Amino acid sequence: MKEITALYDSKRISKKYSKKFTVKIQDALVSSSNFIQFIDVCESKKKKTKDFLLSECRDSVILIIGGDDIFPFERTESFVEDGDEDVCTDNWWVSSNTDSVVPEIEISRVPDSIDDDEGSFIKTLELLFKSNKVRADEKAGMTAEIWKTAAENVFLALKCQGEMLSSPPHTVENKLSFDSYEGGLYFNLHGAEDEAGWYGQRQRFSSYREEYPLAILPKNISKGIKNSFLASEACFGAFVNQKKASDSMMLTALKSGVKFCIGSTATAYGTFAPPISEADLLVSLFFTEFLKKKNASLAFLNAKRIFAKKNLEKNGFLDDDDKKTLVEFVMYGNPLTEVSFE
Amino acid sequence: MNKKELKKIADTFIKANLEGFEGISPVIKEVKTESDEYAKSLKTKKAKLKERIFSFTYVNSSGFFKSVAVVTMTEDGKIIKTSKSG
Repeated sequence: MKEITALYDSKRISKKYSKKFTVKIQDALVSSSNFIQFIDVCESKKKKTKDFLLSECRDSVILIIGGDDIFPFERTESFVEDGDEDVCTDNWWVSSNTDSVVPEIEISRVPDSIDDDEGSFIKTLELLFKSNKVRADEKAGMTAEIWKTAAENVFLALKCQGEMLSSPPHTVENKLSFDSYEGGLYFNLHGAEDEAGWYGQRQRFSSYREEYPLAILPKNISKGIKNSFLASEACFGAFVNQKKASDSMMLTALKSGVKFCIGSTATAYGTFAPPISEADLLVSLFFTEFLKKKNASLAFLNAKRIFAKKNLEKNGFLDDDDKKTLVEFVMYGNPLTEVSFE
Repeated sequence: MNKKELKKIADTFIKANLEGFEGISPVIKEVKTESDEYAKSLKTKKAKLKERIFSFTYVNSSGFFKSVAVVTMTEDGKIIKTSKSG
């Protein structure tokens, strides 16, 4: 079994929760029967810790405890001149590149929400690490109508049965609900930094009146899901800083039966014309790797490295949106999750 | 080709294929193609690159969502890749 190296900042945890809370977090993770070592990382020890991870923990899985307020994301430049001031990333911890573009070690994070208390955050940890298995014989997805073709390509990589809704015509008014759902969830919708839900977009020549209908809200995935996983290509889909759980699709998912999520912390890019590229390519590679029964963080690491390799071998360089895709996509939740077909 | 000519190609592509970027001037940038560090870290050989690469980034911040389109092309005016924000 792989070893988890959990990074936490006891000072920040004490400030937000209590002095004893670090021990409670450790107890919750240790009782999950995974092999775990803990490293207390204060601001002044960051570089030293990173060097240790890159030299001594290359076969370990790095797990960051908490959201931005108790374990801040690293900030990198936005490689694309798109108005994003900076980009939150966890690649910094696991990359020896000067710009953190190519990761070398598996990494995930369990973010807390601003309205979490000790009880609710421990409950989330226990739920995520109760088992390391998810089902993948069913899938459900939703795409903006305008990106249907690229999204269908990505959805195909999840080789199981299921339907992908298009928005429009689907809107949040259609009351999407799940009932004993176990499987993969895929979203290719619009998102924004300060929006709780994700939005569709009509095609260029479409008869639908509304250009950007609200497609889904956190409450739509808060019930009826277990042993599932979620991938989103929405801009800011994984941006959870200063958010309540009910204001974030991903924070809600992690508290509602989704074992892990992957998504972007900033403006994300996708295919305009085939072949698939950027977020579409990364998520498609992730699904393919994950279905090979690799644990979630290894599948994600492999997907990023294959993504970079493909582009280098084809073009001879990584362009700005490729680099941004690699740093802005993060994983939240249980990194040891594997697919079970039993 | 000079940047002005390349911009014309990018503008024509955007006008023909995307709505919402009319009248927007792109940010033109020479793409940093130095990638030895990545190739070493991935233990792979990169394709040989003979030309300079330019990106043309169109940002429309006036809509409900900020919308960004990127056209990447060689200095000869060959469009290598196009992408759009999600």
